Amino acid sequence: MTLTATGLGLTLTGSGGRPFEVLNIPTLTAEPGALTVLTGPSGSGKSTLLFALSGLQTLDRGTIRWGETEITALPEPARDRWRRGAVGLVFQSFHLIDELSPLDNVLVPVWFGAFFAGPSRARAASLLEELGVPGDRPRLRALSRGEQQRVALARALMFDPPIILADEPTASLDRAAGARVIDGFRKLARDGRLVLAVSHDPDLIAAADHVLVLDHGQLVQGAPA
Amino acid sequence: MNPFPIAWAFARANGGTSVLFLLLIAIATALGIAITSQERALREGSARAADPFDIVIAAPGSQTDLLMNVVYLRPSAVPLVPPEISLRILSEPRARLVAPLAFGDNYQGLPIVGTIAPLLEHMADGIPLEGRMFESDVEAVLGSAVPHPIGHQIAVAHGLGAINEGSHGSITAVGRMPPTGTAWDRAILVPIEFSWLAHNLTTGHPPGSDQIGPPWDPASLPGVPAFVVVADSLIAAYGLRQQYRTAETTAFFPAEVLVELYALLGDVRSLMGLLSLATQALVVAAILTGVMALMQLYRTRLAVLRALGATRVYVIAVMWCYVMGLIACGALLGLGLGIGVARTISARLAAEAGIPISPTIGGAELLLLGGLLILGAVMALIPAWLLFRRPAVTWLRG
Repeated sequence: MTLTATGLGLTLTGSGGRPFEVLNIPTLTAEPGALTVLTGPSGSGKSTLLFALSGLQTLDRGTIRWGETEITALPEPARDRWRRGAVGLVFQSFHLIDELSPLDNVLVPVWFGAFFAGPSRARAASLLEELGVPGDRPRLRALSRGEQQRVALARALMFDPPIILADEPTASLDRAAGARVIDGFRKLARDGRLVLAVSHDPDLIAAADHVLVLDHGQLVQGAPA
Repeated sequence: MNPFPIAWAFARANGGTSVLFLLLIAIATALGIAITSQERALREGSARAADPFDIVIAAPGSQTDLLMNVVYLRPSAVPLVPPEISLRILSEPRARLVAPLAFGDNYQGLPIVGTIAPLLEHMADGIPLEGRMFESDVEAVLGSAVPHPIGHQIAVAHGLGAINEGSHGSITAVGRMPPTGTAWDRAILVPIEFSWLAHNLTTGHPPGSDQIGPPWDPASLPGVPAFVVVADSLIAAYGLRQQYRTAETTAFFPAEVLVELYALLGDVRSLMGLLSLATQALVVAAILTGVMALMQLYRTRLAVLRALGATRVYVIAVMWCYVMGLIACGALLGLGLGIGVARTISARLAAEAGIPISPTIGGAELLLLGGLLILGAVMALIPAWLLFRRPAVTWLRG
């Protein structure tokens, strides 16, 4: 399956009431099996595009398709369900819940659709183990930042989604921890997932299979001819 | 879906604030519960205490004062019904029972009431006494709550204080009444002849006679402070009340005086009830304002839930469970606290008034609690609704 965006456009009203164009992307295609990095200056629309591809950001115009599914045509609850199953989101500041254990943080998306998370506990524990997060830590605060980012990655992988979208995943990590995340993303891509990361990190950009550059809401590099 | 783990995590994230909110709700609820249950218990207790007294006849005066004298044994100086009228009342053919009463003495703060044995039998309502009924003017029957044993020697003092103890002589307790649920449970009941004799009055019997109770000797009958009358029938009761509402006497049903007092009490209760409801509404509003402030801290977390695939309904359920959890726990805690406060106040009131007052959870309290929960359930939706007027991505960028 391919993630295809066509004719994406979003215009917002800035201070002073003047409209400004946030996104204007005639066409964009991302294939599974590759690590794609979306980079560009701050305010160029990278995060907006990322959230639009996840179905969270609504647009003025354009269509986004995942295979035969037109995401932009789905009603909001269906879009939410699609995102839960098909997209794993990773954030710069992890956005974990401090009051939950690492294991329960991984189980958070399970509670969106089921009352009991019991059947999913084994998978959550296995994901943490695979990603090298100590499973015996009852509190999130006992983990290093690198380990916390891996908890966030385990949470994103809970439903084994075919798409991983990451917003500055290495920005708040030291170089060693960042390298581990980059290795993890490359492995996810090799396993056949579509991995798209917004980043300014040269190491992540260097490790990418494709690099897209966005400026003023337009793709200035990496756009299909 | 299961919003509880996330709602519980939110509550723990701001544990101190959550506990403070919970206590505020509990105190506001307790206030309302205590007022309504206390007022009802007082009303029921006072009404029950007046049950055995069908009609009270006394010299003209404040019916409320007379009610306090006769039913609740809160003595104050009352004029006497003249002997010739007293004799007429005592011979009333439409009455099943006419009992003269005399008050004003005490033993260690316990009121001493002079009356006749048939009234005590009427109040005992068929339940046998422990020991026996008084049979002479030096014997007494103890109310069920009097803390002295049968056989105890009682040195009667004049008036209300402990001074002059023994000034009216000594009598022996020979029996104990079953509980009647009236102020008389804390009284020492003696033949009225003892009271008259103690106050240097004639005893209603020829000099030298050791008879107690009716029939009375018209020539020896002194003035009587009050009578309790049990009429033959309802019609007779109204007839007697009408007949003795004259320039020389007043007659009333204790229940009718209580109704007037309850009307006054009811107005106060309505006012207090409104104040209590307003307090609770203010507390809920204050808590919601606080929760909305907290939600500003949680908004990124909530937006992350949306980004991870939670529907709006799930996120609203998380917030609703959090706010509703605080309100429900606070309301239940307040229910217990309110009953506790009401029982403490009741115990003090009961000790002072001498009538059992037992506050319970009734319809009014459940209505108050239900109202608060329903109000809370609706108002708990407001923070979530206000938060999601803006798209979730707004909060993810911060």
